[in-house]
Amino acid sequence: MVRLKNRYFLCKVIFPSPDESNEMLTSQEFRRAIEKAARKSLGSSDLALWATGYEMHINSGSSIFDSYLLVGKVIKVNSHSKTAIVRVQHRATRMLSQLLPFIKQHQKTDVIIQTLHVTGTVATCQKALIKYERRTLLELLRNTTNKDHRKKIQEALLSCTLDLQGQKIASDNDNDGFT
Amino acid sequence: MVKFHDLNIARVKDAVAQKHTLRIACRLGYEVVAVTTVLKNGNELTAAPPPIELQLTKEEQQNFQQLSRITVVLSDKTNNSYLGNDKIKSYDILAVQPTTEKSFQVACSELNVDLITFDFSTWLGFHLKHQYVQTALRLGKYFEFTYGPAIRDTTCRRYVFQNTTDFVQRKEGQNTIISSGAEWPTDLRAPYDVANLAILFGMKEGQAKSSLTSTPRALLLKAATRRLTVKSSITIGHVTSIPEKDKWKIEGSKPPSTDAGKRQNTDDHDEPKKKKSKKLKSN
Repeated sequence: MVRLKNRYFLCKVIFPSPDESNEMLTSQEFRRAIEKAARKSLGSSDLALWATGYEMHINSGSSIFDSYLLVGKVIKVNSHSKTAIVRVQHRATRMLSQLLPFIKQHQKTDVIIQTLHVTGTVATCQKALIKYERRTLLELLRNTTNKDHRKKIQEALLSCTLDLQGQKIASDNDNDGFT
Repeated sequence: MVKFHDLNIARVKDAVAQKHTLRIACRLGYEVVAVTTVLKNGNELTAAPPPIELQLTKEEQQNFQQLSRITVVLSDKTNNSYLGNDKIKSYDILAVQPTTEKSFQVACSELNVDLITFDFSTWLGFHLKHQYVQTALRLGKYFEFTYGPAIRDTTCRRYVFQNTTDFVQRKEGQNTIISSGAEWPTDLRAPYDVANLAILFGMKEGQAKSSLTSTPRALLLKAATRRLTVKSSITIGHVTSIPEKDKWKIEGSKPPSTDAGKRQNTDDHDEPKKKKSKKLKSN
């Protein structure tokens, strides 16, 4: 049995425009942005790497084309911290890593996509994401001067920490921003 | 630690846009950045502009370094005598952009220059002769590609790939650096993404990363020797610029001794004296 391997890209989406805070990141829109850049820059064989591969849709007529254009899965998007996890097949690693710098727009706003990490499993990708978020939260906490912002960051940190007895200190926020 | 360099951020008249570009560069992970002034006419030469004040955090301020760079566009008719000028010495990096084969030959062999850039967004107009490239490499000069045009425009992208792969294939990217040439923050890309682009241009993985880290660092050291030293062997500086701990060298006094040294010294002084007296008595 041949092992079916995937690669998970942890991406950070940076909106360089001054009204950064207003931009919302959704998985559908992010997928469309990647697909648009892929259609522009890639040839047929590279586009085919986007296919969901082992999810075969050969028998249904027109949907062969549709399935090939289905961008190979944006798994998770955190619209607050502007991070996304994208899954591709192992053989498409190089193709996606070289496509991401050419993505210029997301929903008609200019965008820079930074690859933070490439991993082989979702679990390690999520670990990398947690490490990155923790570091950015700590940096934010160190550098904010506004008291309200500082309080919000402290609450965010406390909501995911345990006390010495192993019990949660603060209540979880239902909406963590993951879609 | 490895520092990422972006040695070509275009100088823009809009100060707000310039600040924004530099802030985004800092955020993406670049630690050394050079703001480029392009000089087409020798009469327009001005001294280097001061570094732009950015509202950075303490950690970022410690790591982020802003340099100044001048790119002189060469053609067959330009008079290059002003390249040793004091105003040019005020810039940290001196780069030259040849537009003809003759100017490329002069840039590689005769001119005392750190960096040779090309405008790869269109057909160069001349072939990069292997002979001249070899001369430049022997003299320790560096070459540069910018990836900005490839991202900005799809028509330029074709030319950029064509020209860069042509150059890289000859020498596998030896002594080459990659930079953004960014006029707007949207032209910038994160360092590891730029390394992936460099692999597209034909470089190997190790070569791609070093074109952002170790090669620009070597270039900066070379630029420093051109600016500050005489024939790369002697530096001349003012007496006031010497740090306190080295001032004893000028004053002709002994090097300052530390506390630990003093205790050791007293013991040492006692023992040899005793030994000497003993020898005398025996005689």
